[in-house]
Amino acid sequence: MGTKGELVENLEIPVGVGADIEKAPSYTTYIVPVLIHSSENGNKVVSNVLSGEGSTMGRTRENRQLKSGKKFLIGLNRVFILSEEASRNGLRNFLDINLNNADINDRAFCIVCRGKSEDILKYKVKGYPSSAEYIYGMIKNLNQFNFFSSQYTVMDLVVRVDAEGRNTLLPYIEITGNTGKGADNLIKTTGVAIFNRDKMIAKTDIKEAKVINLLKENNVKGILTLQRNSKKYADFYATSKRKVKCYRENGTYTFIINLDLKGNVLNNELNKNIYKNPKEMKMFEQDIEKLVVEMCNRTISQVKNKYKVDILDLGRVAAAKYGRETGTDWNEVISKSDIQVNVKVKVDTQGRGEY
Amino acid sequence: MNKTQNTFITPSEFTSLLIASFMGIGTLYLPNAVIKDAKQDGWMSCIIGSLYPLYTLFLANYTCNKFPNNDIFTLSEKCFGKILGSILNFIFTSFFIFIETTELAALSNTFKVYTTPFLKNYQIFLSVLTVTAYTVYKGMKPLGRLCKVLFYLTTMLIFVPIATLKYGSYLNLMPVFGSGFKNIIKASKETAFFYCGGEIAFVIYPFLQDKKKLLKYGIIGTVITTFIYAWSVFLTIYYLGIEISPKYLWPVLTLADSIQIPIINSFRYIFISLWALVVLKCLSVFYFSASYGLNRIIKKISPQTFTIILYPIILFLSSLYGTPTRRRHSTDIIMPIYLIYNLIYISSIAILISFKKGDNLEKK
Repeated sequence: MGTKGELVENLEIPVGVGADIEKAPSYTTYIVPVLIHSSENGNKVVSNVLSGEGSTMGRTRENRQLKSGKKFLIGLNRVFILSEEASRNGLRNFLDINLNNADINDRAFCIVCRGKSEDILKYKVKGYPSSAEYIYGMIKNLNQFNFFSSQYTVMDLVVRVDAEGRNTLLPYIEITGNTGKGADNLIKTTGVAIFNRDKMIAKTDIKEAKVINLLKENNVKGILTLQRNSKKYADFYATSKRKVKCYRENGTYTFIINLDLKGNVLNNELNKNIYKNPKEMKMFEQDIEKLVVEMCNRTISQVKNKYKVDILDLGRVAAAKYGRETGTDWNEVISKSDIQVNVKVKVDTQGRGEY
Repeated sequence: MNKTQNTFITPSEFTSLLIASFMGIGTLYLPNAVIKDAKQDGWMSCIIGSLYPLYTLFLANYTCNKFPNNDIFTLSEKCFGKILGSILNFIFTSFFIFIETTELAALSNTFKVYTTPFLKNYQIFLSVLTVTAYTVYKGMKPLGRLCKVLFYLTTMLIFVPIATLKYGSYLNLMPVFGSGFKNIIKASKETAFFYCGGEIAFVIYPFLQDKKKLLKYGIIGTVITTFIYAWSVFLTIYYLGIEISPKYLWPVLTLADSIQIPIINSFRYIFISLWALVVLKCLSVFYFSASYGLNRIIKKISPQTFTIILYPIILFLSSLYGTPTRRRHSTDIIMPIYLIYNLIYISSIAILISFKKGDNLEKK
């Protein structure tokens, strides 16, 4: 900033930064839209989106300054919104320019959006100064349900992209219509983006994302449901702890994922006797175990066949046991390996009672 | 007998002086040097690398027991004769000047990236070197006290990255011994630069009040330094992993950011500013050794005058280094020469004085 410092009124404070890309057959243009708060007439804070384009990530900065009335400051943004196209093209240059700069906020959240990040940044969200704050809050609180973890920051991305045996998963957001109600659109998390190294290869919906998160992350919370029909169901809000064991025989690997689910029953319309009879409680727990194992096995076979990428971070455990940098392609190895899931369920608290 | 013999330093000050000479800016990029060969077992190389300062300490202790009041400069004149001894002493002193300049250049490099990108090299050099020169000008006792006080700051800062224990994973450190013994030993050679301050023990042992305690307190200092180095490499591998750590020029600073304090945006600003004090301590020790050493060679000019004379020389030499890559490259070329020279020098002095009769401190 300089020895004299700078007045806040003369600075453009970026709250959210996007990453877009435009690929033409002969060249690629990087577009970096930035959502900025600038003060206007004293205390009023106005936000608008300023976009810079260039043939390299760095040149977007010089392009943006040409359109701006104030000095640009790096490092105060809370969110990085990466468009799907830019993610599919590869995040390496985004990570490189950000790692190089010491001012960057390492704890900004990174997410993938559908379409252009500029649209997400321009979107006005009621009750928030800008969409970036809304998205920041949303991602921060994702870990309450759906077994999402809270590790989607730039630092987490940096640590996972090139590490051996690890792959990144980022939340995927889009502007969707609110189902059922009127014409209200809102920004919603609709799944996760699956990365192989630094390139996005696929996007899954929430249902599958939930199971992938359950298998991949440790110490995460979510709801599991036993549903027989629309009237008879039971919800179980669990915290899951995960341990992975790895074995190798003749070049094929076997992974055993042990999930330990502890939680409370949210509501129970299924079997009224579980609070009266410990044996029924045991059966309930076993039912959930069976449900989870079935769910996991289904997703695992899909992961192995459809994506062929080591999403579940199993390569890491194998590398820790059998040696690092041996040249094994963990994606290939995991797709051919045998993955088993063991689940243990324990109902911890039962709430106040049941109706 | 020179008038500086009237000042004595306590054993704990001796330990802090030793630790100060080991730990400078190098601690911030030490993990990269060991991860290069030893991969996830880098922290073991740090422990093995401590053999080098321990060896220096043993020789210093042996020399001290034989000639308690003569530092290495007088001994070398005794063993090699006046002219050859002076030349060898001069090369020995130039080693301190070299380390001083490379540390100063390293500090400037780090600062220009992390805290003060708007300052030019010479501005950082001038301000830092003036403070250091003032500290050295005052003599041995204030230097010893400074090191002792700042030692507590060092310990505090080293435990700041402990928050990374929550985020990293022990899987990054396995398989233990996976990189093979040969690689671990190879990597411990790289730690030689980071352990290279032990020679000041030869220069300052006459100041020590109770010469018998030299070995014990010296070993304490070395053990503490080894622990700090192994701890920082351990945490870096635990948190970043061996593939990511080499991407950073100063991986330990990335660790420092793991602490999340609500109002402060990035803790690394505070960390690097406080670490600058630790580096100042290191710079003062080497500056003192250099000017004191020159005084012992040319006895007519006092150490204070040498402090002033060395000021522009160090300033000029530090500006020659340039960017971190160039600096590390030139240091990698010059360092082994000095290391081998030092080892041969102190070993030969130890061997030669074993043939001479000592100043008998043994009779109590």
